[in-house]
Amino acid sequence: MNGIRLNRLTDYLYEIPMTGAMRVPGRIYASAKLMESQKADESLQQVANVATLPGIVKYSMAMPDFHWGYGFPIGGVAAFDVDDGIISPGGVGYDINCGVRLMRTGLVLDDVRENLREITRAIYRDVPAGVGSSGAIEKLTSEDFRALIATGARWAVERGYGAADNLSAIEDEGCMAGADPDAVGHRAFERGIKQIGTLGSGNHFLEIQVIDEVFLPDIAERFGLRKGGIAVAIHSGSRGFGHQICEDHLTVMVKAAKRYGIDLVDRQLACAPTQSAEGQRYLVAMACAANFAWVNRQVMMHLTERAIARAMKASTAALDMRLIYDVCHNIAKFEEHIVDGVKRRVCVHRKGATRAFGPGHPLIHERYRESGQPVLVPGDMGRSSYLCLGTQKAMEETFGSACHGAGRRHSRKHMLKEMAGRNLFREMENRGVIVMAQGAPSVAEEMPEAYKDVSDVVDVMQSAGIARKLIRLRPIACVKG
Amino acid sequence: MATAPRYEPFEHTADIGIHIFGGDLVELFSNAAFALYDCMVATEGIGLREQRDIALNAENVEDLLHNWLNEHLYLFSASSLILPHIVVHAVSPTTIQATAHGELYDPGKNRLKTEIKAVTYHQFSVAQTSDTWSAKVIFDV
Repeated sequence: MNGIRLNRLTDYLYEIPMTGAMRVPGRIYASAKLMESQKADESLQQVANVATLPGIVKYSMAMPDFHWGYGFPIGGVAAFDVDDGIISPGGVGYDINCGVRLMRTGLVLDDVRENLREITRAIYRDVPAGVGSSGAIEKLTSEDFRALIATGARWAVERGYGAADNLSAIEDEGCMAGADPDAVGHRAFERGIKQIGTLGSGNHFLEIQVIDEVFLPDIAERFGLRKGGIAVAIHSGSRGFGHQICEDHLTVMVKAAKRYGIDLVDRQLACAPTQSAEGQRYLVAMACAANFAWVNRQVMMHLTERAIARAMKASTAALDMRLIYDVCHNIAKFEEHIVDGVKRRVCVHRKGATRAFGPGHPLIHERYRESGQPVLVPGDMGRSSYLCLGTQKAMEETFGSACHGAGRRHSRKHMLKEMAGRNLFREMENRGVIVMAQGAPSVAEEMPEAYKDVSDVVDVMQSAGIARKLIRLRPIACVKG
Repeated sequence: MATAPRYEPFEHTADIGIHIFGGDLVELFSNAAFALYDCMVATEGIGLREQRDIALNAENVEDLLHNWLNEHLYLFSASSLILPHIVVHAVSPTTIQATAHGELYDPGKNRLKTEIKAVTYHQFSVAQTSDTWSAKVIFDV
């Protein structure tokens, strides 16, 4: 397996022993089945590479949906000491604050079955995909945009997109502190101002889902989640704004790493000391991108609610749509964790991984403090998604982190070949999912066969005690860019 | 004899990897820009209604190609321009001046393929043999 030595610690935990330039061991949460499917790519080497970075604390980790990424593997979690550790844009990803939000509604399947196509079409029409289209907010001035990236979801709420009580259901209340618009280049501004409120393509989606299994009924009931209930999920990030910020700072970091004497085994691990000027500048720009993404998801949630209400000829109040939670899965966060019995402040990089704070954590709203933080784990568009809860074990073992999705199995090239000539929209309808997409190739690339089964991924998290399943949802309609 | 391809995709689990080919740097850079647009939208039938002049410098040919591709990605992302027809005025391993011709994206006319988020550095390489140039690029999608 690429010459990487692996020790199996438990049924769900593997270790890459410290060798060569590694400063800590690697730890991978996976079943034998999931590990088998990783033989073909470099992701294990990437876990080992991350372990060479200065200031890394305890382990370079990978969640069970891990696969090959840029520098850091996707599904990677790595925490660095705030004083002598580094910050790495590659450990966050190009799509800063790509994330998911889940809204429950008071609707059940029978309420939407008859006019599901009209509802889907209304969403497809009203939520811009953003590829070559303009953004969703008219007359957005530069000053508006500067305010938006500085204040995040609150900016959107103050302008009527959603409600004030949404904020307590968003990680960081939808605003990363310290965001500095002056740290953002003009190209990022140009791309961002055009794309606010847009979905994006690739694996981004907007889905109507039905809750088809409830694992913890008492907690689910408290959250307003019942079997047969209709929910809506939005998966999207910071669009060209975040991508440009990542690109701009990667260029700076490659030079900075050399200047600070950091040996990079992979150029894409480009980084700088967190306390350096370059590190700080990236952090405040990253925060702008994170805030952009939260505004984005807030705006799209509002547009979706209105589209559904209009298609059903009902009021938005009748839908009883409520935000359950919004999580990031590409981000770096300053958090306090207990490491070897001592409280330490670390910078946790989660790239394709989700924060999963356990019960009692002060940073989660009291609504969730007893149960643990909601963790959204979307699957592919044909199979399930899950809402899970963070655990104390996650706090102890993974810096309060869990998986983020299914992880790809097949390449886009492979999928385009396999799906050639097939009527994918009809195939998905036969599977019970209405799909509407701007680009047909993006549907081919995103067919369920392209992905691992998210149930396998979530089962590992559950068995390892890192997250516990609350509900499972099944898609019935999917809008893609 | 078959025409040499301008570019070819290769296997990559999550994103788009391509090999780009050219007899010289003019062809390599032209084909690289073409490949970027062709991955994002169908380029058949794109006319010559818009143009942009591009002048870039870099320390080496890899960085130059990276900057070149990023320039085109920015033009598409920020201005909805599809400019796959490239006229290279001058190129060396550290500098390029060119004019890119094409059209504004029209949702009614231009068929979308896949949106590209970024031009990564992963396995990014430019190589020269006695009579050809080639490059390897992975796009984050």
